[in-house]
Amino acid sequence: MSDQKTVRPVLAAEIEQLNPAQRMAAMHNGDLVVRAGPGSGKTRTLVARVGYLLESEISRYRGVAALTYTRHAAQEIVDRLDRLSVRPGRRLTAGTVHSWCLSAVLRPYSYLVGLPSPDESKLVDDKSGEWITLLQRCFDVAGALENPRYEKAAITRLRRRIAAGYEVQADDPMTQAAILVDRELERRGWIDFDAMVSRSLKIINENPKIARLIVSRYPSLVVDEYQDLGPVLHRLVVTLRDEFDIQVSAFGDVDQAVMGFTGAEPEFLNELSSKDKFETISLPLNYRSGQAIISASQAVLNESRPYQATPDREDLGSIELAYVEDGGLWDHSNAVMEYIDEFLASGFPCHQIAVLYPRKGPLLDALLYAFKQSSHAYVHEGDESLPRSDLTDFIRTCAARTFSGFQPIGSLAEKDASDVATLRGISRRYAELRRKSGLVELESRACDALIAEVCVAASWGSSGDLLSWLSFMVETLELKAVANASNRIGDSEDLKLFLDRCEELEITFEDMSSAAIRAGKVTLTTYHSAKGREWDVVILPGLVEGVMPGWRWNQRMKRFVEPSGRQLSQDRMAFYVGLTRARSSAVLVFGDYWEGKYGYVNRFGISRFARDVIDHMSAQ
Amino acid sequence: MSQRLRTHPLLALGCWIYCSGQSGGRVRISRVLIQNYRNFRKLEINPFPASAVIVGENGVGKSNLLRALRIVLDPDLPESARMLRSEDICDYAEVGLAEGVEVRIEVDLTDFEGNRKAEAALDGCFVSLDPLTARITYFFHPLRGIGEETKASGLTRDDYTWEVGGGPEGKRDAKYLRRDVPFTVLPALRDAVGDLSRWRDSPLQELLEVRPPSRDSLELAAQRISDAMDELAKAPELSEVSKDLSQRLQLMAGNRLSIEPNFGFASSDADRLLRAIRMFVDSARIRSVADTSTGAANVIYLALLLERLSGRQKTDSILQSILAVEEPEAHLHPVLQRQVFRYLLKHEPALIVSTHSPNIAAVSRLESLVLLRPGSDGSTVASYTSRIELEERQHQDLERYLDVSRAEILFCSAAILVEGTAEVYVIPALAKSLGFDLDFHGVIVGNISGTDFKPFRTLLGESALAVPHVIVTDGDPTSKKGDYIHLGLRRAAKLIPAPRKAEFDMRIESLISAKDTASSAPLRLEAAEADVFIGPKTLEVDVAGLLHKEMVLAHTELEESTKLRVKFDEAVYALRSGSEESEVQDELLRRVNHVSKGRFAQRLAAHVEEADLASTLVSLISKVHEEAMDAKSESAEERVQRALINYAPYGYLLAALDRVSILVRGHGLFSEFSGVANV
Repeated sequence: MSDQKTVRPVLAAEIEQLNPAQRMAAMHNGDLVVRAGPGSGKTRTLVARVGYLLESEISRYRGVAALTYTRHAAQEIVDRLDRLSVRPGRRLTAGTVHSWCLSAVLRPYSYLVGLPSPDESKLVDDKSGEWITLLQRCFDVAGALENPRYEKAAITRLRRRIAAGYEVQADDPMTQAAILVDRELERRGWIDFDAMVSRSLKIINENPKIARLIVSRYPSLVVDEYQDLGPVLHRLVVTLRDEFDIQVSAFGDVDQAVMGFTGAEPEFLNELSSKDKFETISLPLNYRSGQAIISASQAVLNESRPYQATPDREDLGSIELAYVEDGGLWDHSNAVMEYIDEFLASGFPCHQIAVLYPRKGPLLDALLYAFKQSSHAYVHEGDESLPRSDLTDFIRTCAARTFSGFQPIGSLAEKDASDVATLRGISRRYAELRRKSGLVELESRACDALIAEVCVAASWGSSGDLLSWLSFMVETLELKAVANASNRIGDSEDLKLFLDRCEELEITFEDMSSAAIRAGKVTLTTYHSAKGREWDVVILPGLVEGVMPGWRWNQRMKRFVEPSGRQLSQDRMAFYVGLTRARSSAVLVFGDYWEGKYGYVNRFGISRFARDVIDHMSAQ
Repeated sequence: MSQRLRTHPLLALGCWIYCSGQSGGRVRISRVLIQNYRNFRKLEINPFPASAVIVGENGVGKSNLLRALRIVLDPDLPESARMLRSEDICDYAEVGLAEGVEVRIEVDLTDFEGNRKAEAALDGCFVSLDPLTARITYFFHPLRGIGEETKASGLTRDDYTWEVGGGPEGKRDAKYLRRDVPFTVLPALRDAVGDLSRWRDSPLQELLEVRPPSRDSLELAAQRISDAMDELAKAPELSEVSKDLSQRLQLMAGNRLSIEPNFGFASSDADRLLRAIRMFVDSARIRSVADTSTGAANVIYLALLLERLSGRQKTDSILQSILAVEEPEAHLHPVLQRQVFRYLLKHEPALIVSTHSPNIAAVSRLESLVLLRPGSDGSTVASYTSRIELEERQHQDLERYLDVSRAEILFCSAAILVEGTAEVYVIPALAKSLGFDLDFHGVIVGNISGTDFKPFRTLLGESALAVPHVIVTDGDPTSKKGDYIHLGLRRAAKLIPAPRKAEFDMRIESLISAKDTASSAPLRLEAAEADVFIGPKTLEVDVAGLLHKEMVLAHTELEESTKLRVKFDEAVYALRSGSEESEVQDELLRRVNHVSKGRFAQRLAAHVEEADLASTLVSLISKVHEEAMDAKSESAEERVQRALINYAPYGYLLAALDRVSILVRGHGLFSEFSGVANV
């Protein structure tokens, strides 16, 4: 055997198909920051890198930890590697930051350092009533007067800064409350997602031996969406790298740091970049959008980026400017409906059109009203319209598989069936849910048969009625019992809410599967939820100062005030993310004023983001 | 036979529902593709029969075909065996291990639609919805550097890797499937007695461990054994022996070795007792498996194995096994072979059998047969009948034909199909006297007892078994009334490929209307191109020119009446000198029938084998020679064929033998006689 580094032929072919920058990133030997702009093939590059590391860089007794922002993204890595014939088994841990902290740090080592096992702790979701009650108590003790319901993000940011060792204003009641939250969780034997990460960092800081064991197992750490992951994880990564020589590959885009309100900062990625021996590679080709959209989006950033459309792409894409002269948000919404009519008429399918809004408020109200008046089929992915949890995700996965049919051939997805789980995979997830809830374990083939019964029965095809399927599956799989006995607080309520919402919103199989496959409807969603996705046409209404960027109501001054620097840059990034979702057309609907809750007109002028684009276009 | 076979699928289904108690179908193999593995450069069997009977000569790769399936689906095959060695690479592959060969084995599974457990297990591997089919692919290929050409030479095993994937491109992980649908091979050279006597190797072990006797009865039995041994130990003779032995040990090794010699016949520990359970083959528990015949031991072994598989299926530890039995005929006498094989066929829906036994081939369904034989490049190819479409009646004819012990047609190198007994005797004798031993070259003469050659052509043709063959039939130009009908040509017309058939039919019509003014030779020559050799009239009449001496000898031995002998001899010699009189022909046939056609042919064959025909053939051979030298555009072989069919009534038989000789010997019939080369 030669010294030449070799990999499986399927993986070799995949790496050869990457563009030069992507290939360099995949095969770099050492610490790495990959700056991946919109549509630059980030996931593909990341997967190739993980495959390359596993196949040719790392001893076959050691492995890679791939940390992602969502479970879905983690599963995507495993699935794509599988299709490249890379099946590393235990050598690869792909998961969210929390789940990795749980499985790689807290579970194996809590006992060794005298801490209670995380499995004996009760998992509380920060959306649950219990968590809010706990927070209220901390506020009371600390003497904070704010309403805890509206300060969740602030508390999260503070907890993370404290855990990461940043200086904080110790005498501030909010800081006191944040410190109390973690103490109170520990005292009650509870754990939440943030505590998983901060407790892991604590173990690593205090026990170098354990840190070395972790690095022995995972000599290489690959982190996706680094800019969104917050200070505690950043500290953890830097510690493992600087003191214990873990190899780091951080993928991210400082321009898309939309999670700033939780303490995440684009600076963390820059900090890694500037470290010694870190190579920084930018992925310059945008495979998604036409050049017109790419240029416009750079104007919004007000910074120059090296991104360009692929050279063989002929269509430049278009930015359409729709000025709603002397009109408010209701008129914006009517303009949106007219644009949808036009795009449909020129042949774009419904599900390739998205309408984005920044947050709940008068714009959303107007859009919902206009949609209901129109004949357009649409799906409103309101942030909380369907509750998210392991259990409800499981139901969605089942629905997507039921809708798509036998794998990998039966698929309604446009690209590939990568997102559709197999019956076996679903069966394993179901067994895991039952196990976590302490229900009688089913023999694995009986479990398979049950899942197949739910997901294959011919009557539940695409024409099937989702609601009767739902009640059939909830019954057959005893999901109510699963939810009742779950160790996650709130599962039972979530399931009920989920089922009620499905009925109330007349949700169909297509809608239900839309997290996995695209629905046959116009998408109405937030800038945040649009991250990581793409449509042919993206319509951005409500581009008025006060709505986007949002202005805050100041109680004391009795008026709306301009956003602070940080809030403004948050909204700017969100707008940048929204604009870069478009493959061929982005429509900017802007105007001079908007109406408040009681019809009061707020006239702060055209959104500065829209103006940036207009100026850029007239300069050309 | 056909009746029994038609009930088979129902019986099998009934049995299966009883066995596993779930709804839906059973997994079976529906297609196999093997590339560059052992004997197979590219072997595709599509569709793969529901129960497959693999026949072929030794060394052609029957076991290697099963081995290839094991690589994909046998959980008991060690992982190291999936990392191939250079000797596993097909010798006929375009490149070898050193140059970066790729080996691929694809197995399609189907027939399980509605079986929810199977649908769940195979999801992710589907390649077709109707019928629902899953594909598992094994790849063995070189690792690659990125951005570099694959190294062209000097690769070793270490430069390779393998995968087992599912779906159209084999990109989904499918390694785990071998635990769901395990493929089990019962090897040919097995030591059934030995395996059964060793607990660890015996299929009995798992059977008893899965369904053990109750704890109570085990403990009770252990106690009773202990009591019985105590009883035995009380016998003074035994205690004497044990005392003496104890003393000797004491003297030899002193106190350091603490051994208390004691005698018994089984462990009195309840757990060990289970392993001490042995199988006996009689109710008195006197005869063990070792005391039976090898044949019986093999049947017992097979039964235990099937029982074990069915146990695993019942407990859901596997979905369903696919069973292969290598040479079930080993150690079994023919009647038992048929019996056991019929049982397997009925009860194992996904059964694969490899065999040398015509007895087994004979009871196989036609569509089960897979014939392995060397292809043109030397690598093994498969021919099989599952693709052909036959009418029910033709199907029955063929199965009946195979059933009556003529399954050797599957094992032959070439076949000559004839319509009656006379040809069966005469043709091999004629060949032998011309120095061409048909038996020696594996050529069989098959009597189809009729003149409907069409189904046999389909069965042996390229799209089915691909057995090289020729058809020999009488011309039968006239009816009893003397009208021209040319039945022989009519038969041939059915076998002529479609594009030429219509014209051939028309030419028969014009030949019929021309009555005796035109020769049938041009049409017969054309039929010969389609491997159908037609005599001008009837076998006995046509060969009189060549075998007159031998005919007379044979007839004389059988006919006692001198008057009739004379009549026969006159007819023979009239024909020999070229008589076309129908009266003469009729007389000859009457005389032959009088002594029995079959007996006459037998006697005739005996004389022909010893005859020196070369001298008789001198003039014909020289004509053949002249024709062959004639510089025309057609090949020497075509010219020989034309000369034979044109110049002598018996020429069609020689032409048929010439064709077969080229097929199996690589040269024509006469090249040894006169140097007529078939270039």
